[in-house]
Amino acid sequence: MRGTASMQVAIIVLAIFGLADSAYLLYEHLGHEIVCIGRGCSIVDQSVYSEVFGVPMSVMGLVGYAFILGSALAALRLRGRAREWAKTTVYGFALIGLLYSGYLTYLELFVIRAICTWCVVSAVIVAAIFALAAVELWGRTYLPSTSRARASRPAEAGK
Amino acid sequence: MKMKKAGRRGKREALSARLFRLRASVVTALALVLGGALIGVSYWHSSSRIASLGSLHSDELSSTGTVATAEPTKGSLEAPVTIEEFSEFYCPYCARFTFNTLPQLVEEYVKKGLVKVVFRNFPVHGEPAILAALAGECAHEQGRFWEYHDRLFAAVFKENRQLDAAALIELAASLGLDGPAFQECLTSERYRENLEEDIAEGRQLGVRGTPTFSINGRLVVGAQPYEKFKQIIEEELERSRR
Repeated sequence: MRGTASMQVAIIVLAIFGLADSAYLLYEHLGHEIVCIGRGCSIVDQSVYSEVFGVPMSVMGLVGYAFILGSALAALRLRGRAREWAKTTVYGFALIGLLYSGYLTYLELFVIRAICTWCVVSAVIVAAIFALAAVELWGRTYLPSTSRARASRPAEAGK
Repeated sequence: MKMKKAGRRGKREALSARLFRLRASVVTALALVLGGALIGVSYWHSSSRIASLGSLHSDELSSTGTVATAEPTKGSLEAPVTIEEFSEFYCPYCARFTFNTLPQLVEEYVKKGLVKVVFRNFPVHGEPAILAALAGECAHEQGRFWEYHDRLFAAVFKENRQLDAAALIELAASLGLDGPAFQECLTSERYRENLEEDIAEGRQLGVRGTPTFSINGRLVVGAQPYEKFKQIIEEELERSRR
């Protein structure tokens, strides 16, 4: 139980960083200068890839991190089957984010050929969230020995 | 008793593990489909935006008002750097720019929305050049300027042709433009006035020969190497960010 809680807290903290990062990128998109390694941020931001149907990529990031944050908070508060569902939802949103971030990073590296520091930061954050969520979700199935060991430890201590 | 209880619990756990695996697999599949769809839509949307960068029609130009006249433009109208190219279809250095430098600029800057290229006529090689310039405007009228521009330069410098009105019309038809409309446009010399405006404006800016470029107002004379363009564009981009 404690393992799940600390995992969800880690995801929540990462999602908050992701929200702040996206907000900073949106701030640039609205015409402000931001700190960036090299000139990559404004090159990427001014490219045709920075918006889809008028929606800036940073807004996509805000929405994605908000979904992850919401379901991670739910996983922390809820119990039983509802918690399992919330954990699965965190994992699902993180997977979508990971795929989309991968596509955007590909565009930066091979199409626009400019690197936007804060976009890379976001890609790393979402990859970390996905890794945590995946371990949290699949760990139970594929690492049964560790979870059983963890569960049995208090009993042993009681003896 | 104890054994029975443990067995029941084991069965329950096995069932819940199966349900869990099912749920996790369904969510994974759903996320893959949604993520894939999101990428597909984004990719499709940006490709269609890039496609429309190539040939902006005069209507689009006037509606935004960022370019004073409806000149043939390549690139995003919001691009911070504007290259006005004073050019002519019979000038060899203009052809060199078109074949060598322009594609690099498009790849490096235009596609990223950083630079737009505006074509201005500045015919200096007499009547054939004027006729070709008018033909370019007629292609622009049908929203196909840049295709015609590329084809025309190729015809003159790669096939060594001198093109009369009939040949210019045939060239347009070969690209799938509306032949009769093009012919009417060319023979009526509808854009003669527009042409003279281009020349007058060029002279006012200090253009003496072709090609001459005005990059955000800074004059670059002749088919300079790509690096020269790159340097000035980078300086202007730097300035636009401040």
